[in-house]
Amino acid sequence: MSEYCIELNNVTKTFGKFTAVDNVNIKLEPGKVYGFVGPNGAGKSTTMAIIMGTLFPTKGNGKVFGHPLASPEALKVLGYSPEFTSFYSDMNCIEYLYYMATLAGLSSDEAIKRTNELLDQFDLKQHANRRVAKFSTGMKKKVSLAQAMIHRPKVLLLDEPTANLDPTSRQEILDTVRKMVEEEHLTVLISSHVLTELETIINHVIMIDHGHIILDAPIHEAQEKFKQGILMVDTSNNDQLLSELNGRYEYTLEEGNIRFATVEMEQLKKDIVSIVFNSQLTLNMLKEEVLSLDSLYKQIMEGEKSDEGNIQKNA
Amino acid sequence: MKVIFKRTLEETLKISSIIIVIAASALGGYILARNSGYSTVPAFQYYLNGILIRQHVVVFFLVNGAVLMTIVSSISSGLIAGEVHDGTLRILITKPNSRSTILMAKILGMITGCSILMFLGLTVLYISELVFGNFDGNIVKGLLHYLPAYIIYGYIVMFFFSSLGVLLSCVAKRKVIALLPLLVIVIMILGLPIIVRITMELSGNGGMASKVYAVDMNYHFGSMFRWCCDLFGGIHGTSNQLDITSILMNAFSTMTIDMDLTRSDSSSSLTVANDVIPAIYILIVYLLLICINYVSSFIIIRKKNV
Repeated sequence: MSEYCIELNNVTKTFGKFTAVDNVNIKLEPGKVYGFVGPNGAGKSTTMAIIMGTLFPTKGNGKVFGHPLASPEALKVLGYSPEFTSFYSDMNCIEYLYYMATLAGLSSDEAIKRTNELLDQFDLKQHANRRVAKFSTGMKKKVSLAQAMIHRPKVLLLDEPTANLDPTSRQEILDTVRKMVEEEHLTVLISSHVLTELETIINHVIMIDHGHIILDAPIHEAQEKFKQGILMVDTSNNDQLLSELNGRYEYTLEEGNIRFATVEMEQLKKDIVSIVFNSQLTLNMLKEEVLSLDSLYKQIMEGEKSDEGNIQKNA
Repeated sequence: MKVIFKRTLEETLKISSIIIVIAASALGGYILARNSGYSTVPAFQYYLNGILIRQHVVVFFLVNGAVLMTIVSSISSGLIAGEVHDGTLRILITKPNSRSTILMAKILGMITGCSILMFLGLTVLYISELVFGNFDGNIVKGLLHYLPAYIIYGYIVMFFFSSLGVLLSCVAKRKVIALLPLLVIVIMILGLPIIVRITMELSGNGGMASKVYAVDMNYHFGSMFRWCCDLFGGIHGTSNQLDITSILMNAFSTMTIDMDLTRSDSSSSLTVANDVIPAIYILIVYLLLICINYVSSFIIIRKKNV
């Protein structure tokens, strides 16, 4: 049995001449929450659809707990909430969840029990007899999450669960996901544009752009980088300052200013002040910035040069 | 896959379908019962044959014809394409069932539902005939004798249209795109060739029209219908009585023969089964088509990107 719950090996998916996913390799370890981020059209939904077996890869292959993609054995351990879930227009909430439960192989009694549990868990009890197709976007997202959870999957794939929602509904959905992850010890692959939201629940970040994985790193590793200080400095003699720092800190030059990137921010500040004082330099600027996950995402997506650390870059 | 079977069965047995079947069959029975049209008291067999031939025509064109063909076409064309268009198939196939199982459950649900509608249609037809016709017991017995033939023919229709409908449904992204070719086929069986045949008959080119057997679907289905009836005694009647089946189904044709053999005072022709292409060959070809359609559907659905 593989140590990974999901493996994609050199997966490519083309639609005519358009390559939606290009030679993607992903390995998801059990029990972790993965953030899957990238701009629109980057290949997030296509990758998830391939894992779920709704799309077949043009090249490459994959496994879910050692089972081939799209096999009933693989689908048994996967739960999926697509970005836009369509509901049967003739079914109310309780009928829909019961139908999904029986489709997933639960007996009638189990299906009724599980449906009631999820209606409680997602706070949908009072809307149980209303047609799902007439629900608000936020409530539809909840029903979509509930149907994904109906057969107690081991891995949950959530495609933009907070898209098109107001901040309150977004928070509500994220709180529910967080609670589910804690209670059910799930592996989750969650895609979103809103990285600040993801930061609070993910263990690992995977960034994709134009069908390529461009970042695949544990969140603690990435966060070290994200949280490292950025210090913009300008003195009357920048060359002298750099020479006296003697290469102890990483830096780049931006429009005549020195841009330091370091985790030892306090020491750097002390060293700069000491050099400025001892060498009689004039300090024109000393400005500290903190690089967030969001800014890093923007920098990578815009193709700007970002700080290189121990982040694996696969592009 | 009971749950998909049950849902497809429920969708097939919609109240609108049931009402259409009952109304059409009741109307067919009423027309049959009311249209005896004899000015003198006919001989029993002649009378029975006359009613039977009209019953065959009503079953061929209405109960197992327009009604059954349209309902099966409508349901089968939406089986997959409808869910693709509505977006519900995406969730359906992410549940732990193989795609073949899903398709099989849907097909079985549809066939079961359509069978119920066919039996309902035939039952209502007979009830309507009995209620409005006031026939005696022997006539009723004679009419009921062909029920198994109608059922067998109904299944041929059902399997042909459902297999083609399912195949188109697996390919198309919208139900209506899958449905249109099926409706064209319904017209090709029940309408267009008959109009062409009558038009050419009237213009003196009748012989030519009836020779296009390979593409005359009205002839194909007419022959298969006659084959089913042959299993239970065949379709009998005088030349005049059988004329309607010659014109509307192309199942019989007139052949010139020695007057002594026809024993007819007025004509030297005999109405015989139109076996230019033997009915059994037609049946085999259609059964092969049904198999090919179903097998292709399963192959397509297994590899379909949703």
